[in-house]
Amino acid sequence: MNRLAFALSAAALALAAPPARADDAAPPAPSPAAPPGPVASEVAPAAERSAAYDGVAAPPTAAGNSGLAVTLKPGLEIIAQYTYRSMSDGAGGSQWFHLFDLPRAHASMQIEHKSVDARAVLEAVRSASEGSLMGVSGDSLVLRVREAWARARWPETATADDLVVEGKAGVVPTLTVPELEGTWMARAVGPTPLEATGFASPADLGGTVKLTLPSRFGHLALGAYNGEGYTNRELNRGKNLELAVSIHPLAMVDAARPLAVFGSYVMGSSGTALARANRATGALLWQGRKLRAGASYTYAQGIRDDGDQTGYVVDVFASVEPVSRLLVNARASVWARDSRQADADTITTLTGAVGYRVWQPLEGFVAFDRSLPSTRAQAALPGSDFWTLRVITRVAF
Amino acid sequence: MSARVTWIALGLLGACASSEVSPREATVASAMTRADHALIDARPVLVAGKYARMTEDVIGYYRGSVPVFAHDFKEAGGPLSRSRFALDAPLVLGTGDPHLENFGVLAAADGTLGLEPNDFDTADYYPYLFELRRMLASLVVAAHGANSDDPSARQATVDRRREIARTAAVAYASSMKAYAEGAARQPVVDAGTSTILADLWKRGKRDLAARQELADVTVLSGGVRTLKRGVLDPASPLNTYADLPASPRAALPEVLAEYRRSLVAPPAPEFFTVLDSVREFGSGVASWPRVRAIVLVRGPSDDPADDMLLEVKEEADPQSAGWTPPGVHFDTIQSRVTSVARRIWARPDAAPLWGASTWMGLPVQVRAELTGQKTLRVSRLVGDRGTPEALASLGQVLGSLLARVHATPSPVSSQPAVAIWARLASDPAYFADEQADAALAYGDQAAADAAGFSHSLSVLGPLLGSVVEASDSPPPDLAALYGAPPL
Repeated sequence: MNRLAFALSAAALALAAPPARADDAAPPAPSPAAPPGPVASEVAPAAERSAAYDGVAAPPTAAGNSGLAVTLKPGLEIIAQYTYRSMSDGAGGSQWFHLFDLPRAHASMQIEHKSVDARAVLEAVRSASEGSLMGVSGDSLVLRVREAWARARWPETATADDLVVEGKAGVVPTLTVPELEGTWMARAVGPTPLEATGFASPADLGGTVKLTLPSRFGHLALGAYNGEGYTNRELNRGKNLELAVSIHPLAMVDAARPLAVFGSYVMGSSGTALARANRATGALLWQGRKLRAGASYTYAQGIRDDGDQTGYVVDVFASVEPVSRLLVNARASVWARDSRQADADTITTLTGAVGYRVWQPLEGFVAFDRSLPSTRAQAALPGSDFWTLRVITRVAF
Repeated sequence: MSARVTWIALGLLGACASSEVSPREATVASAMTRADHALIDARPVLVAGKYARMTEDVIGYYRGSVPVFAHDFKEAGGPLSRSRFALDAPLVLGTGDPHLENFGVLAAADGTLGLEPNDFDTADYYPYLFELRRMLASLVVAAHGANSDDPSARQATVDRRREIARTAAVAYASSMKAYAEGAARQPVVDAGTSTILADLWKRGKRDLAARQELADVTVLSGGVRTLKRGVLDPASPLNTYADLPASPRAALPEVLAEYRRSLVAPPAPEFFTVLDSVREFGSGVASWPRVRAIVLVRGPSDDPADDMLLEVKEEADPQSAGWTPPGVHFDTIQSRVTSVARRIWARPDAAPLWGASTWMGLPVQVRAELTGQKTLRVSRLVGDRGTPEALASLGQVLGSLLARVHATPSPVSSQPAVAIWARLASDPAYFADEQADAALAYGDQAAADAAGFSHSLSVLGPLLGSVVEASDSPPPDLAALYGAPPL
């Protein structure tokens, strides 16, 4: 199965590569922002190396020295929050804690040249994981790679009526979490339960091929990854395969175009002993401008290195902008940690938030969360019965 | 069976073993390798040694498999965390791994021997049930491992393993009630009616008086004492002393100066003048891959008779932690070890030379290496020490002692005993039954896992399928400190 997965992904990536085009032979127009090195007019045809380095060594690193005319897109997203958390103290009272936090700090750079582009996203993260004291220079916030991929699209220029094929390789966004989070469009209020529960990772090392259907009818996509997520090193020879389909059945009707039916299946493994880790997700989504909403169900077979354990996540959410600048978000999810158990082993999470877009890149939210574990789950995860009040700001450029 | 023989046996086993691991074996293997990932990258041979050591006996497996216990408690599926008596808060101070081989007698500043927790590698804040069940299951595991020389006696103990665990649970509950009602936390300074503890005290007093460690691991020649090198005990061929590389040896005076400052009542600086030092391999189970050194120091005077041995052991983040709410943590690994120890002991000077330091960037625990500070060992549960009654009597003492540990006031709770007892008070008898059943189920599971672990090693290899990349090799000076165990 592992070989099959790898062969399929390799073949898919090969298929996605754009064919050689006649205009590849023509040098691109000079770019005013061309970096040192071979000037844009000297850029070689696709089949040749640049003549600019005849007789001299090329720079030790090629990034920024290609001389290609490129479109540059720097980006930054910062989410900062203050959290007040209250939980039971076991004697009828409550314990509380509060802190300032940085749930997300992303810096990105995306560069495009014709039908090829590449993107790198760095994110801030605590250097010591949960329960650890050994971090970098104490427990500093450090940067790690969240995305780093190269993509090729075909055709080079396409309209909404064209069939578009693209292939992506590197540290790539996976196919399920980004679709749900991209529908929610309120990461500042919270991540998708699918990611928060550890059922799926938003990015991984590998490659994806995506076929975008004409006339905004949706897309089909296939991904192959290491399977341990972008935060961990590969631990086994097994590779994860992910197949995702998003269909907008009423795309021909403007008012109903946001309606999407999404489904995905991940066939994977985790850990050095190749424990099964399969996921099946189905969702009904609404991806409109004023209303972003959805209901999803994910069934997990093989959880946290236990190939026999099964569980599921049910998630219902909505992000609404009822009047200009006013943002209202609500989410309810049920996480069944082990659906084999006779006694319920679940954690129900409710989130509500009200926000305001002060200026275009700046948003502010006040959010309330309630985590309600079943008795069984509470015994395994002390501290999971709590509520929080959060004040959040977000900017994204 | 020695580790060397175990390695050979594993190799032979690999030729005829089933080529697939079971789902449970896969879970155990993945939990272990995830927890050991950083160690596997930097010192794979030492981790392979730990895994081989874990296959020697059931208690060896149990001691090394804290990550599996933590996985089984946190993750759904098993009975380990199912309880009517779970408590969201407060978390309690504890060792994080209170199996019976992590208890022993310590010599206090006034020479008194007291039974105390003696391993703080995973010390931190924990749910009280996590710790209690870890200890109770270890009694069941001990029942499986006792009487290694007498199968019928072993069966008799195995048959009554639930009763042994229940006795300890009853003692825990009744002691917790007393602490909730205001009883003072008292040290355990005699063996009582326990034959196992009587053996511990007897051998401890004898070896402390004789300074047995000096006879065991040092040689006195021309009035100068030095440490032995090589295999010290033919029965433990992998436990060896080797020369320390020059740079870590040169750093020892600075290490001991920092360590001295961490002590409650530090002796004079001259006390810690380094006379000799060695790298120790093959000691412990969970800490098998950790850097460990034995340092011979001057002691109170220039007389070689009062030279002292110190054990310097690398510490790291616990493999079972991660329970604390935001904002509750220790400043450093060193302060985690020393502050938990001094809080949960009956007296802060229960082991006056127990401290911490930093050695070539590694956090280390430093303590007196005294042969008389005996640790409970399942291997000694034979004869009148291996009967069900003997284990039940030991369980009673350990259950009470763990209640005392959990009753320790901490920065997150001034009266944890009140909160815990409030939870148990509704039905103490059912509480004891529930804990006994959980211990029975998990102890038996651990015994089965021990066999499965050997099978996993034979199928997946000595690192349980982990792949080591050359680029992860440590720099030369650190590699020299890690060393290579004699295999």
